[in-house]
Amino acid sequence: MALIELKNYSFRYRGFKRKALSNINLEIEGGSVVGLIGRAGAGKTTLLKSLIGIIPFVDAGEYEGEVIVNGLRVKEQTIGDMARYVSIVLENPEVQIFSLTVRDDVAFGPANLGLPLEEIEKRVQYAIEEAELKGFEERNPNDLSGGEQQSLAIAGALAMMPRVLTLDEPVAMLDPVGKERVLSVVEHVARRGSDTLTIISEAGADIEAVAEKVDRVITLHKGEVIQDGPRSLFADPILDQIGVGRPQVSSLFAGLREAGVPVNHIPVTLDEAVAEMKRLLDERGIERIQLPPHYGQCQQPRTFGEEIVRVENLHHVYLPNIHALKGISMSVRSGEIVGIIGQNGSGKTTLARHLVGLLKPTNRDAVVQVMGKDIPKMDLRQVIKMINYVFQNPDDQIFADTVWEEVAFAPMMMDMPEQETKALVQEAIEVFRLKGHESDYTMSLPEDLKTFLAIASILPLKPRILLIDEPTTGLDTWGAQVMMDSIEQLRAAGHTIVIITHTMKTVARYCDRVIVMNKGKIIADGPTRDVFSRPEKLLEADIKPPQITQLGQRLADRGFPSDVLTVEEMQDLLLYNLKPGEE
Amino acid sequence: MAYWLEYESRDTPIHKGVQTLTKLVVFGCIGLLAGLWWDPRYQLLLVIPAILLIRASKLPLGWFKVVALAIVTSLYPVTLTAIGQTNPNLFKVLDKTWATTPIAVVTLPIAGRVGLTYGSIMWMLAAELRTLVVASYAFVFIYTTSMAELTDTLLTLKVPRPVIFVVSIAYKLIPQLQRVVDHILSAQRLRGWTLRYSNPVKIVRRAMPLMKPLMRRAAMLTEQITIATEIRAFGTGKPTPTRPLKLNRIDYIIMGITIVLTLIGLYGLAFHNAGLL
Repeated sequence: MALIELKNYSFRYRGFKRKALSNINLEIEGGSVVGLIGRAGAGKTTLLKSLIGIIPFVDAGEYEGEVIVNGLRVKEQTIGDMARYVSIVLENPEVQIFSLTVRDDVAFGPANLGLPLEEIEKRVQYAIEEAELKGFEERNPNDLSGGEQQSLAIAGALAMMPRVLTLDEPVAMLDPVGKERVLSVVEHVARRGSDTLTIISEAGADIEAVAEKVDRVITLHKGEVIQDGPRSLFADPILDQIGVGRPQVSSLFAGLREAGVPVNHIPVTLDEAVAEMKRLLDERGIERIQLPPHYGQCQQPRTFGEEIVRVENLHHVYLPNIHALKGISMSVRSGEIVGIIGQNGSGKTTLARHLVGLLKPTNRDAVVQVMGKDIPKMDLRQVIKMINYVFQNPDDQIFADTVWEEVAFAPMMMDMPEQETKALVQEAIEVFRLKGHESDYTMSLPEDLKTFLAIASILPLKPRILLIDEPTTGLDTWGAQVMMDSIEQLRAAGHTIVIITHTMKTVARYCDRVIVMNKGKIIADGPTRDVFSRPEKLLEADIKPPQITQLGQRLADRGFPSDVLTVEEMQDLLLYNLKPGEE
Repeated sequence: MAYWLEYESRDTPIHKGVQTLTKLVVFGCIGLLAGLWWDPRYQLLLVIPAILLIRASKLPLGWFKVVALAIVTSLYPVTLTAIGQTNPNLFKVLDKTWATTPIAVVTLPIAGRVGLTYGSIMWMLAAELRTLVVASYAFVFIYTTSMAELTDTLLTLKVPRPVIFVVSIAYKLIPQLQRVVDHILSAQRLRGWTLRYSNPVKIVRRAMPLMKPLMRRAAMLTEQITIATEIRAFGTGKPTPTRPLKLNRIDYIIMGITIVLTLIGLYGLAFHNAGLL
């Protein structure tokens, strides 16, 4: 009997017309890692919640068919009963941590089960080891990095000794090394020979990292299973078609095959890609590849205008004694797209808050100037017409009933004339592809449109500089693409853009310059190509370059450059060598 | 950085050296005396250890902004009650003549003699000091006690599990909500929002950009935290305290002194009107 069985399972949330899951039939055995793939809103979280009983006991709705876990019909149990067999790790580690020390937090679940102290201690030891948290037992969870906190959440889940461990986009909010840490914990748990079933959901942004770890792929689209099979399915173009996207190496080799290069198989992991690339080169007797003359100039060279943001020696100390920024000096030129990257807690958001005047420097000699004006001395209502900042979570901002009202809110607050407001709102709605949704109720918008709306609602203020915190977090590959295309459009219209992000693919593709922050300091600042070609520097800030850049770096001995930024660039490079004259 | 009403792990004697049960006993005794005493001079006796505890626990003084606001907003109802206390028979300890000496007293047709006297001023002072005292001890308790410590102690004290569940959720939710408020406020200010009206109706309408996202996020957070606790079997069985109550000598000393002093205070109050006006 399979560990999980779903028989003709459908679920519709109360108040919604469309079914979140429709006629799902699945059997999943223990002892494997399953990737549950699909765009935002495809039904991944609904499926995971159904396994532990959050559906139907917390989220009510129309429930049809059967969900059986470990031989138990979920709807006949309570969440507490199911918690003995199924654990779920949520996207946000913060809400899952309850205790003063790592040890206490891991013990929280087993203690709630009323187990004897010796058994609790045994489980705590086991979970801490599995989650690679040995040595952290007495640490305060608040002092851990994002990746470590998520590992702690996994340890807390493991201490319940579940038969099924589910992780709902567990790495979405983490820096690249944090992502790697968490996924390596997941792999470690799955490979230690037990029959625990691990299910990881993923919307596309971290598809490369997830593809490295799973044995089986189940793809959901609009609440239905459209793919179920081995890991090689990550190379299936259907993932591009539904907007999830494939791993970068899969896209690269698929592109090469389409161009007539005899690719044996489409790799889905970095190791497979390195092996296949070496095979291709060996087959043609290419010891070292040659760089095409136009390499590195694929993008249209850009010239930037005057310096419009200047920061010098900026410090910020949060009470009682957290030195969040330690003498930051940086600048931004007009027309640039700048990416600020760094691990969780490195000071990126604090810096952004200073740039828009939400925080004041805690040292007297700090300079924070935008368009030549001292931001700390200005009234916020004046600042926001020059530079503005969009928060990561659109739910912190959206309040109006309709899309139109939401976008019209800022000009209304600034007492702009009605005709001008109308024109500005129209323009913002068009840039972020919200046309046709003007009268839609904001709360019923899908996540991607909500994120677009949050940024669109700032645009009518016409700030020269836009700071956007994690513009692509929570978006699937399609959503991220639309978002970044819209941002490009804004740049073309004369805006300067600063984005804060953990998604290195986005930075590599769209940013002209990258600022790397680590523990309140800037440790690297330069053109994206230069910064990504220094992996050792990036590692200091828990950053790893995109998979395609890593592929080049892994093949350095075959003459590959260490600064390839995009799949297209790598493809040009390879076609120049593998099919001269056809690149 | 700890938000208002958020525990922060710090290396202070109150955080590390005193058990939760001891803090609960001290807080309970102080709360009892603060509630029963009506003489501001007695309340001042409770303020002194409060100041020492605040310093020892390194409690952020910014937390008291809310207390200041509470005192200012309570001035109106407190004054309204105080001005009615011109009757000499209300005072058992103070000299009745002195206590009813008028500072600003008028005689009204139905209400009779109302206004401020030395006695009513003393009463007002005691009422406001009580707010300060209770808030101080509550703040020190919350700032120095983690959710796990509190839960374990309540479990040992056989407090019903639903009560522990509610306390725990509140403990986790309040600081999280403050972060949300901070974000919402900043996000709306960046769109030009200000609360610039004095007309209460307009203020309420103007507050919608804050209230709607806040209510939505509060509901989401509550659900997330509830789910996060439920999936770890919280509130489903009979939990095992992972830190069995282990009191140190200092705990016994503090509890002993507190209980003895409280009993003396209660005795004085019951038999000698000590602490009354």
